[in-house]
Amino acid sequence: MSLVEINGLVKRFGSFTALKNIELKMDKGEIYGFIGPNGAGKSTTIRVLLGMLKPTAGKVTVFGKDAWKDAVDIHKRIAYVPGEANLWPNLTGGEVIDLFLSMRGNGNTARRDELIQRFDLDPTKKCRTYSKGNRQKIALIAAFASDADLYVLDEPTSGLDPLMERIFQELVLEVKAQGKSVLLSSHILSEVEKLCDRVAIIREGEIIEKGTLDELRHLTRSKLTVETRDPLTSLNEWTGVHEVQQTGVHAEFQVDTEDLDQVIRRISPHGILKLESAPPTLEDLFMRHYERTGGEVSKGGAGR
Amino acid sequence: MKSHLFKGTGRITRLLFRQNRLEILLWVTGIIGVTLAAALAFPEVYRTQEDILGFAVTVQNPAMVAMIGPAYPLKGYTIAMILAAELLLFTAIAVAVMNILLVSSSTRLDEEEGRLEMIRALPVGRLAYLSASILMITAVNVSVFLLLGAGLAVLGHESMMTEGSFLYGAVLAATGLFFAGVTALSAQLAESSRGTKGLSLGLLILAYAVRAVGDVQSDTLSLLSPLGWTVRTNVFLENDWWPIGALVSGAALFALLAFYLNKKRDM
Repeated sequence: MSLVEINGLVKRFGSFTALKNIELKMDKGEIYGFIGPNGAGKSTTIRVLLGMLKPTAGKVTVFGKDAWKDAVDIHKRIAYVPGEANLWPNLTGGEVIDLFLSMRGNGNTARRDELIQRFDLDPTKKCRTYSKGNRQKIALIAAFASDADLYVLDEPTSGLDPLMERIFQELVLEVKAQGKSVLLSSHILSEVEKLCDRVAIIREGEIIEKGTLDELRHLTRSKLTVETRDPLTSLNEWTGVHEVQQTGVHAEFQVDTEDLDQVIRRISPHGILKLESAPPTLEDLFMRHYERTGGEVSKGGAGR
Repeated sequence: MKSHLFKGTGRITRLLFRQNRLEILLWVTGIIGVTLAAALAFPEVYRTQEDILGFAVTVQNPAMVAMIGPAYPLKGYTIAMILAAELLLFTAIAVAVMNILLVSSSTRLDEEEGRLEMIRALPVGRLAYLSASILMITAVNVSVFLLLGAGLAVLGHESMMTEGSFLYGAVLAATGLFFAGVTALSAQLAESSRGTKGLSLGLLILAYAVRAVGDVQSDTLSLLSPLGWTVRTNVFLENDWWPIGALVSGAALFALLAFYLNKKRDM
């Protein structure tokens, strides 16, 4: 039984269908990435998961329990960080953290203190005086100081500077090492790339792709720079090769990852003097998906 | 299973008090302060029975009735009745506004700003936040009732006798509760926190207008408005307690509807 199971989830708000048919399974101990453009339905899906929204159709279970009916039980083992933590202006940061820990009931004060130090936060100031980034830190500390089994993070690092982003990533990997699970919805593709085991891409209320990063990489291209003893002939006609820039023995082009093997074999006989390759980034993958599904992103010329 | 719905209410109530303590303090001391100050000042202003009668006659005319409610009979008019005539209705409106602002901020505004969301992700019942808001506002209203009742009974003029003083406090608190209930329901229905406040304040104004026309023209019309009940306690004279019952019942009804909608509704 999966940790999180979403089957045929549909969510309508009046005449607007926010989620069309979401299918998702998350296993224990993995970091699952959830990416998509603004308005795709990431936060809506997370809210259904957290029992805040009732599904129009479909079944959503967490720890094997129904997300809507058994929300209170489920929440005992979940820690949530929203994308924008608007706290209670009159309370201090420390008070908010303690509020969350005591209400969840599984807090660890030593961990809390350690995190406050790591994030370099002054917990004695009132929330109204904190910057956006500092409010976000409060939410993160309140979540990671607890001993939850599942961390649900909805764009948690918006407003954090790069140093704090790094601390955040360390924390995620630390909880994974303890066997916990993380659902991370993010816009920051590099973050997802570094942390996630599996990824689901959502767009306009549907999951258009999901799998491990490796599985998804086959949908993208690698950028190759080669220098060969003999020039490569008719390079732009080779299967799987695109955007060729060639001068004599020096060639730069892109190869569909699935054709990589066959292309390398064709290059070899020409004598490889130099070979550089850049692996596809999640950004490539993401952007390409737009093109493939006829998205609004225009196919830029050079540089891809 | 039912207790699941309210889990965490106590803690959230404390949170709401902490968050709103300055507002609560200012409103409550303001309302009680103004009332007690008037109660202490009036004997100095209306020294003789002629002065009192002069006032009593002034408030008989229809314009005044429309503004402050039905007049007491001239015979046996006391300082206490002057206090009630001058202040009761408008103070009740102030108490209603306090309730509207506090309830809308701890329901719809907290929802809008994402505070409710963070609490709902905790092992907290679906109705806990609304319950906490209702508990907080009930406590505030009750403290107005007790403090003002005791204040008038102890510090006020001799015509402000014990039962009347506490009835005075009670009708303010009950009016407040009524509009707390209205706001709790509006919060479930309106599109935003501004909409919640707008709707509730609008209903308050409507209640005033209906009572104003009714008090001059037709008792029945006035009884359709909660403020029509507010001005019918005959406080310091007959001391009728039925408006308290009506206002609190209305508050309870609205609150129950609010809970019902909250339970069914998406957060």
